[in-house]
Amino acid sequence: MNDETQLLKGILEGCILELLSREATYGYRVVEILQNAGIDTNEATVYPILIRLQKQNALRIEKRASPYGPDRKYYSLTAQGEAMRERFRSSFLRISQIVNEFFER
Amino acid sequence: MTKRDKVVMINAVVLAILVIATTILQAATNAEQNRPVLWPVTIAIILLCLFSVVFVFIRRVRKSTYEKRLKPDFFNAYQGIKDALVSSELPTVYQREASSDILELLLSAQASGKTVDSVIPNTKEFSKRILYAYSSKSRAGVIGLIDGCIAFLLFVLVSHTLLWLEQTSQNYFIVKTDASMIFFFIIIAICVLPFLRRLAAKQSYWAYILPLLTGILLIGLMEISR
Repeated sequence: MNDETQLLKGILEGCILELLSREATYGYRVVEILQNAGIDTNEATVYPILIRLQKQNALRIEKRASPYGPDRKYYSLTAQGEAMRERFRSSFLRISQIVNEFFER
Repeated sequence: MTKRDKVVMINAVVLAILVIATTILQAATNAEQNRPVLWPVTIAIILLCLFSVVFVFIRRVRKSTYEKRLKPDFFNAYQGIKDALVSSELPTVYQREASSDILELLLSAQASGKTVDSVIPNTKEFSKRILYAYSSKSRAGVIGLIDGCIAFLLFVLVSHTLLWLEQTSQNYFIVKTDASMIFFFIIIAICVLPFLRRLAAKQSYWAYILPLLTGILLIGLMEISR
């Protein structure tokens, strides 16, 4: 469990960037989609990552009315966010190929 | 009401009582010494003090419409996080933004039937992560300096206005403020207030005791030097 947690820490930000490149959505929905994809995470982990990405100008914010409370922030990627997503994707594919080849030896 | 809400309300009430008592004492002393008593100003100050207590209650303590929708366990988690944000050195605009986002997040989670522990297992850890995500040391330093300058300007404005009210025959801009008072305001605005803010961020009780001790020390020094 601890090993998975450590691995997830490294890839969660990249997964969030990938998710937001496909559709503009709000924080709670980001968590739902990740959990449905089998990624063990929660709001307490995802929300600080969204703040950090926002501060890095990787995210565009649009406020829309929420049925439950204050306006919701809908996140989508900026050009910088797209560049970050591409860098993560390239790195992840390269590293996972190296690790797979290593295990197959 | 959380512990912090009670402290905020007690502070507001005590401060209002002290200002009202000082104002009434000043008016009574002036009347005794056959000096003119500015009754409209005295009444305005008393009403302002009472209004400020109500304002603090409405803005800081009373639950907002959306907060009332939270179940008790969700509300407790939200209040704990909000207290951590408000007590921190985070700029007010970020405090409000984060509080609003977290409120919406908790309301959505509650509507989905989740438990608060599954959403935010550890509120203290979550608060630390948010503060860390928002933090920028250089920006915090600049904002702290700006806050200090604003506080200094407010002190000077209020004291200058009070001095002018004692001699309204004089032009407002001719009234002189003592240099020692300016120096005192600079010390308070640039040194004491940031220090108090850091103590409050650590939730240290000295954040509440220090202003009181400073006031007592100052009054004591003034009495000794008379």
